[in-house]
Amino acid sequence: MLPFLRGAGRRRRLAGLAAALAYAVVASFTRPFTVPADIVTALALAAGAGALAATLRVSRPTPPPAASSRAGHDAPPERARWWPAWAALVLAVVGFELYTYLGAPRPAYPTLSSLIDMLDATRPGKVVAFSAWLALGWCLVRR
Amino acid sequence: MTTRHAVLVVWALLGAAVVAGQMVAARSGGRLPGLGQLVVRITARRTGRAVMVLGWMWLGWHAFAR
Repeated sequence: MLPFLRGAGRRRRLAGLAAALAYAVVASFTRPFTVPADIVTALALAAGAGALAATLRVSRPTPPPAASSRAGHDAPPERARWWPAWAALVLAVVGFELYTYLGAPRPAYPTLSSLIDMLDATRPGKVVAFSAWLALGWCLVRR
Repeated sequence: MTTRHAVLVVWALLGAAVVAGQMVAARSGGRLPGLGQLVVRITARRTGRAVMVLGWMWLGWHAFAR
């Protein structure tokens, strides 16, 4: 079972998961550059903005020293070696995105957006992409 | 191989590297940080959280609306 479905509040989280999946299915019936797509996306954005505002209002405890320190200073040596690896990978993705973005013609140089468009071209693909986007948003705003 | 195929191969390799790194982190039992921990680090501060959520909002609007 997924870790976030364990423990207290399991039913509430399951209901939230089902609602998000249902919303992604609804979103899969819309096409970009249409009013329904604008509305479906804007509602999710409004929910995300509201959740962000709520989490920013709540005073959060100061993170423990290990979490607040810079990577590589207080972290064990093995962990410290991995932060530059992730940073390099993120930079590689950003750099290649820039390379493809500046390339022409677009079909010869597909960007990340083009890859997402390919996924969105089918209804199951759009359900997966929209669900993943909602899940990412939930991870970012949860307390 | 066309340019398009070469670009798609590079994207696939980058994606595979991310998945491999994440799998190694997951199998390390917490010894090695995964992408999730990177996000937790960034969102631990209000500014980082706000920037990440704004990025998420832009991504959704760009991918699904416009």
